[in-house]
Amino acid sequence: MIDLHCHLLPGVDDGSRTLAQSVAVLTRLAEQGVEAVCLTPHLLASEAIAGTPAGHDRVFEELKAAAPAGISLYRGAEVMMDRPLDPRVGHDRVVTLNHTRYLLLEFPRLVTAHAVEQALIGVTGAGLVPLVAHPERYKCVNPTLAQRWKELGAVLQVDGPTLISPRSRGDRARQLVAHGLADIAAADNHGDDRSLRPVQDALVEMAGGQQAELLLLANPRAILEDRPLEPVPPFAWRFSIVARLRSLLDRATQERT
Amino acid sequence: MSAPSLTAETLERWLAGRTERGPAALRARVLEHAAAVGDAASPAERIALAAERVLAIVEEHPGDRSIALDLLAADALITLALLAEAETAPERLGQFAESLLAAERIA
Repeated sequence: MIDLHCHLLPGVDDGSRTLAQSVAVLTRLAEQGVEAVCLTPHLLASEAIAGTPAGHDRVFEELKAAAPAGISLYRGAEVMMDRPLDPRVGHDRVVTLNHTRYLLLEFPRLVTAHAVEQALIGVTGAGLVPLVAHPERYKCVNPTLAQRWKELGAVLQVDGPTLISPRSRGDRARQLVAHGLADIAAADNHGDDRSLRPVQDALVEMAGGQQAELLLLANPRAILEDRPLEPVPPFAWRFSIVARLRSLLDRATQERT
Repeated sequence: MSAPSLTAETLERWLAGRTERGPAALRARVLEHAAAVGDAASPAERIALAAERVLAIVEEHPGDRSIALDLLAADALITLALLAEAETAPERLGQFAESLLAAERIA
């Protein structure tokens, strides 16, 4: 597995606080079969042209020196689209994932569909491929809208742990995978226990080995190597009877409160 | 492996006996859904199959409060399925419970 979205560069954002914490998480991920991660600290679009803060370079070198064997570290950023992207970001490729054409970006949770479309047009206009982080987080998202975003040149990163969560956000993520609209999954680890391993196990158990391979390894690797992505076939979720009941009861509880 | 001692013929009576202390409306819905399912490999499987069918109905009506009773019935049916297996084939209870937790149930 390759995880392209995590906040494990210690002490720079709301993710891991210390070097030791990051090393512990990376060690666990390596044991679970994660062979590479891309460190994606939060960054505002309005600050992206300045590149990553200078202090990040030193912290990255420290983490790289202390990281366990068997897991490779790459750099990028998760860019919050607080304003249109400066087109020069596309030339520099300093904040993209491993200096490729792929830019991981996020929006406020209540963003409008129109605002997302304008942002995507701006990013593609800068010569980059927008990789929309956790699209299921946005209330406006549905398969039709996600399809529209892809037609505008975006690729989609669903949140792995959310995929196997019974909550309504999980339903939105699963819908995207069910329609073959998700391109990769990532764990968005913030120095905690979030991991892609349970996602891989769940997909394989549901006869989704091909989707697991594409979402968790082949397409993330293609991004790191600046190659186009493979389409992910639609996936028919097959949850257990108990999981389905739990999901329905959870949803009913949410609707009542 | 012992044969189930709870036959299909006595299943309705068994269900009625195990639900008599429940709310009348919920009890009636449970019995109605269980009666709608034909033969299965065992009484527990028949009840679990009823639960699956009810869940499918509920899933087709997201947010529809008129089927809240069916959701509760599905919950009750899963519990009753486990109880039936515990009483008729306790040596297979673990395997049966695992089948309820598996992504795809093999009856």
